[in-house]
Amino acid sequence: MYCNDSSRSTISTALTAILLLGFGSNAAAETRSFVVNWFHLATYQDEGDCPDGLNPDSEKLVQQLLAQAGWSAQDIQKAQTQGAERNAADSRIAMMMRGHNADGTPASAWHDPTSVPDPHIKTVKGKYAIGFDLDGKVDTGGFVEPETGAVGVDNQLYRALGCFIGYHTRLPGRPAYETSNWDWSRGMPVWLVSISGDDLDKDGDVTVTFDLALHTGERNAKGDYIADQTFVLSTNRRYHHVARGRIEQGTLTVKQPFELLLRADGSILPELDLVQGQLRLDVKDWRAPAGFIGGYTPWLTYWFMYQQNAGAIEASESINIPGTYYTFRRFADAEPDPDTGQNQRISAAFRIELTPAMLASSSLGTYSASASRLKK
Amino acid sequence: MSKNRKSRVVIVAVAILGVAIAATVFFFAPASSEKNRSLSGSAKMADASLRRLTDTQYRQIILDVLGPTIRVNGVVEPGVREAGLIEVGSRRASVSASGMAQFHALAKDIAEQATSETNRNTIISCVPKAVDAWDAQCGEQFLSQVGRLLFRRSLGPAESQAIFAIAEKSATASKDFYKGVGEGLSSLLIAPQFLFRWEIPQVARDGTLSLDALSKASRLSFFLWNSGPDLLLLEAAESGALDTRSGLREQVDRMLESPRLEAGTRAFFIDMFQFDHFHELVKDAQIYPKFSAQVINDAEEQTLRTVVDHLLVRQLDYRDLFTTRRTFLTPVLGAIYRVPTPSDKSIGMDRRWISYEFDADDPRPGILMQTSFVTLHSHPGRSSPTLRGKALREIFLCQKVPDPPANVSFTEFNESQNSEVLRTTRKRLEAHATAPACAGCHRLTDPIGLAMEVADSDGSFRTEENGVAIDTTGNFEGTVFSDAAGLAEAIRNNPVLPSCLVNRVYSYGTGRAVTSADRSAQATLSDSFAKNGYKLRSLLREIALDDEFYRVPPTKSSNLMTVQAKATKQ
Amino acid sequence: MKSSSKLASRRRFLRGVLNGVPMVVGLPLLDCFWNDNGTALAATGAAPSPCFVSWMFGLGFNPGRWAPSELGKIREFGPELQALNPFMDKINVFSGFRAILDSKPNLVHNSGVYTLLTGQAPSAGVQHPPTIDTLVSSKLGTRTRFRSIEVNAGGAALSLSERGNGIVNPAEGAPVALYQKLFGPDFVDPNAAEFTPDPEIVLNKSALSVVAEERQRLMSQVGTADRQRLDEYFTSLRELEQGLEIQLERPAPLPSCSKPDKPQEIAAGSDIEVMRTRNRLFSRLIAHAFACGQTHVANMIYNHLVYMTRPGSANHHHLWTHEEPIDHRIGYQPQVALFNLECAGALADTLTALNNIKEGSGTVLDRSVVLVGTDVGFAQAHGIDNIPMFLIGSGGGRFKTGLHISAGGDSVTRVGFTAMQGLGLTVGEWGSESNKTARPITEVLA
Repeated sequence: MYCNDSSRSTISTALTAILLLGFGSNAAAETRSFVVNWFHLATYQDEGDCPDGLNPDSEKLVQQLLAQAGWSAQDIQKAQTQGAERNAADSRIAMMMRGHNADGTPASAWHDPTSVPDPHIKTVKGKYAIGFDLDGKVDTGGFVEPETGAVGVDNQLYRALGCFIGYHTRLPGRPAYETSNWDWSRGMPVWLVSISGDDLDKDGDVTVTFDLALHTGERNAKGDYIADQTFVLSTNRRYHHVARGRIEQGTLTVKQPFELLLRADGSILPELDLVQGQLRLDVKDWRAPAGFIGGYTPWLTYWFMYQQNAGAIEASESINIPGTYYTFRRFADAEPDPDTGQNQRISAAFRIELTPAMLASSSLGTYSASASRLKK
Repeated sequence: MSKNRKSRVVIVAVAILGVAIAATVFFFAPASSEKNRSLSGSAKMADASLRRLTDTQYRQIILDVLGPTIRVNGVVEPGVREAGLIEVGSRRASVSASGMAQFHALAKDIAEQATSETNRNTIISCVPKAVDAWDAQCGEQFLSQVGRLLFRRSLGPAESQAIFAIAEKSATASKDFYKGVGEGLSSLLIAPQFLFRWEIPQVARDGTLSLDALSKASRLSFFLWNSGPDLLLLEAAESGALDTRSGLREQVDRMLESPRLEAGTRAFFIDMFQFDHFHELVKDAQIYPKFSAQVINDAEEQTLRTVVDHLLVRQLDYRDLFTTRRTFLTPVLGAIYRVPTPSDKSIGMDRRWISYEFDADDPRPGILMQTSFVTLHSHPGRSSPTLRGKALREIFLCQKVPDPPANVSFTEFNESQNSEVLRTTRKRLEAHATAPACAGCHRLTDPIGLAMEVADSDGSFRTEENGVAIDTTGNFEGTVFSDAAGLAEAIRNNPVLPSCLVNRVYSYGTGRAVTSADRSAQATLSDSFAKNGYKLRSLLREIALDDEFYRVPPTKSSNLMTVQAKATKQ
Repeated sequence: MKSSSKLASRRRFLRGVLNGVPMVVGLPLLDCFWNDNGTALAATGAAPSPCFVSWMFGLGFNPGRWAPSELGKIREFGPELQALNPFMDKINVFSGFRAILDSKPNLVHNSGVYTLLTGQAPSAGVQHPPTIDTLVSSKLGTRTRFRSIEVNAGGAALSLSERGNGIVNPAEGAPVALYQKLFGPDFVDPNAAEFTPDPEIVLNKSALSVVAEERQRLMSQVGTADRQRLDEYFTSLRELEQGLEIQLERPAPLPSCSKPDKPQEIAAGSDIEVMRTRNRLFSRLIAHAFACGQTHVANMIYNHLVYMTRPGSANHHHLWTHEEPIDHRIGYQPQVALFNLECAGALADTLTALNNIKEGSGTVLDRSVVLVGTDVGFAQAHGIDNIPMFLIGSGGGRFKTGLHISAGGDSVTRVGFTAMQGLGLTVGEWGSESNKTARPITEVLA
């Protein structure tokens, strides 16, 4: 008769184990879990990093592309000064259809980037980039790590993007497009990171486990995830990965390469897919670990992040869609296709910032019956 | 139960009349009530006393009388807390000019909603002959019925005429039957017969003053349901059944079985726990980013759900509320407590609340350490052992802690806020314990609150403060403990705890502070409470069946006290 | 409030012709209507209605550069709000409030502003609930010539004022057109107008007096202490009656009303100077409209969805917000900041226009409450956390001002809800899903 929840979703502490220690890691004395609060390309910025200048801003880029599409200077000026007409459908379509098929008919440069010649976007020529020596060869990569001093750092993705205005920044700044999408995305299932070890406040070996949650989380007034929330783990094995590393003097390093796959959000990245992964995290403040994660990622998937919103990207973010296609393809440095020899992955490093969270397994008695195929 | 209630035939009418002051007209009458008795018509027995409706009572009555589709779009003027309860203060609350404006606006708004096209056919059971004119049969029928429920008695002839006239005038002028009904309803909602509870005394068989049957019905229904009497209770009062032992028992048992008991219980604990202070609660958003309006709502609901589950559903010992580890949580509360709370809402289903049991060794048992209590009794930017200790004594133990002297200087404590040396609250409050002028009162409060320091101002769980581990040792009435769980145990076993509840429940019902004159009555109730295993329902039943509960203390303005004294002497 | 004999004579005049039926009554200016010096119309004592303005701008401010650093009494604004310094004691700043989406997509430049105006996070294809100005004008706008006025300093008809069911109140884009509408041939000087008593109030008052007639009978039932409380009740009832009586009388004349000069035509475009000029002209017209009782509600858009340009700058405001990286040496976007200063300056212009018209011991601004909001908390990321919002003006003493209030991620609806409660709307809660609130920000309610 009374309002009573015990007949509803009762979850005792026994079922909702705070951590899933049995999931592929050794029994460890303690585990701390986190949600990924920020994730974006790790950019750098220094004198002389773009000696040929930056890529043109959107105003100029639109002018160039419309000219490429055959518009007169007058029409271009009109389109750009008429207020709302700046974004008029006809100028967008013109930008899109600036490519040509082999027979000369118009083609969409956004859907078939090779229908325009390579515009040779400006790329980074400076010395420094955040990242890791992913292949263990100091003569590849060509960057020096500004924090650790490591040489042979492989980060071709940054090399390709670092001279676009929105990417030409470094911490505390963040690349514009990626962070705005990360901030927008309030529906994305969160990414979870757990760190296990005998005593995490001391130097020692650790295990780092990556998982996907089933759902998104609550954010506070600043847009950060509220600390100490509970997230229900996805038990889909595709999204569960383990890496072994070490904490020394407050820095956690995973040198032994790992693989990672995490589903993201259409507007950000369809998937984060890394091989030869490495991780470097500052864990001096366990309430806000932060650092970088690197690896080889499929360049075409990354390019899709821009391509799917091509019109806004070219007109507002000044990122040239075919230009990035050609450059990513050229800079790609791993996993050659057995038939064509074209590298399918590109080296990259990403900024990662964590907020404490609690993880729970889905209690089968509670959720829908269709979950019965999942193991307890 | 402590007074002699053998009925005596007191044949002193003539003598009494001779003594009475001319202004007081006095009837000797058996303790019974007439049907359709109203304030206008019968001669006055003795002075009525008034209790003004509270905000929750107003809303509950509108819900009970007009149904759930009617929204109360405003706030009723808040009452004043006296002797720990807003209900006791209801004997002092009146209606200020701004309060009147608010009541008027609410009344008009409610009347408009009730007579709107969507609602009129559910709320008004008859249909007028024409919509553009007054229909006396339907209009008067509805207004009488709703008036009876709102005034908590049938309307007298003059009252009815007045309300009907208002409604007819309005309907005629605006050519709209429903506007007329609305004007009538609105007038009922602003009348003092609705806004105040009229407690009307009459002389009982033994010559003492007791509430008349309809007033008894009101007191009983506000006590158990926080609302006016329903039709069954009104009929029991009007028929005289309520004045019989078996009739009263039948009603009390019916009301205790009703789901409406939960609303009444919640209203009592909201008053006793002083949850009205949630309206003013603010925390510094920079220091406590987890704290939000959602946390406030959930914290209040968490404690109320815990109380209802413990006392009404599972019918457990009241004292164990302070040591229980079972409660209910939402994801937002889970983030504050730092315990896992995977609720169905997180995967798209609509249930946010889960029942949760803390570990046996969790240092935060019972309602004392729940978010509601610790956040209400803290500062916006930091916790406060003093406020928490004071609140514990005043709310749960009915003890009064003296206010600080007017000339105390707080600068010493404020400046030490960020000191490198005094990094924990315990250190900063040491001056409280050592300075002679302060120690006297602060030793009543600080040793209690310091055990609760693992709960920060926003309720979040912490084990260290500014890098120093928090020391939660404390003492209470001679018992020493090492953490809040020990404090909870000490509180639970303190004999004052249950007797304070008895005190509060009784005061809540009578609307009067318990005085020394009631001591033996209270002692009897406390003994019963103990014998029955400290179950709330048995306490409520015992009080509701006690003639003493319906007693009216004599007022100074009448000479009835003299009469009583004379009568009992014989 | 006691009525003077002068007022009593007016009421007697009214009653003779009313008969409980609504009628238009022409009141001659009898001698008794003038004050003792015969220099001005004597006030009846009814306070003029408060006014409500919604002022929506676009693209927010640079985070960390607008709100005061301390909570409570404002002593200093952030760098981008310096233009508001002259009005510091009349402004309430709200930081830390956000629009909550509940898994709806973030409709950029849309979700933030519509949540704070309607209480509901918008979804594509779903009609917006009525905006807050519609709710306010249902109380303040029922007896004025215009229920509300909408203007857009960008020159377009785009408006954020909606009645629900997809009905949008279109905005004026040209000050000359607004002038014609307000002060053109249809303008009637309020100080010479005829007056119609509201029939509903006549009936309300009649009902109250019936309740009052119970006084004698009920007072006799209670003891001394309770008699005092009942007396208080009946005194309050009498005050309520008197309040209604005043509403049945001809409202006080408006000595501050004057017809403004006709503005000149403005060039088209969204250059910052043109925008400022348009906004200044609109503000002046609206201030006069308030003073002349033509309306009590105005909805102003500054640069929402209108992208301002600076002479010599390649990009417009919106582009800069996305393209310009945060300069890591200073921690914000400097080009964007230049545009933000324009927005703050425009707001200051509007406040100046309202403040320039004196009314008694205060100004039109003192009688108003201006709800200022925007579409984002951080334009570059389209972030809708920490959306800058202000409430400016005390609304005729209904609001406390000069405070900085911060919230822990509460919904932006709390600010609008507070404005509505302060203005006396019977509203117990506002908004839907996680944006629903029943908690006003009591610190700013008087």
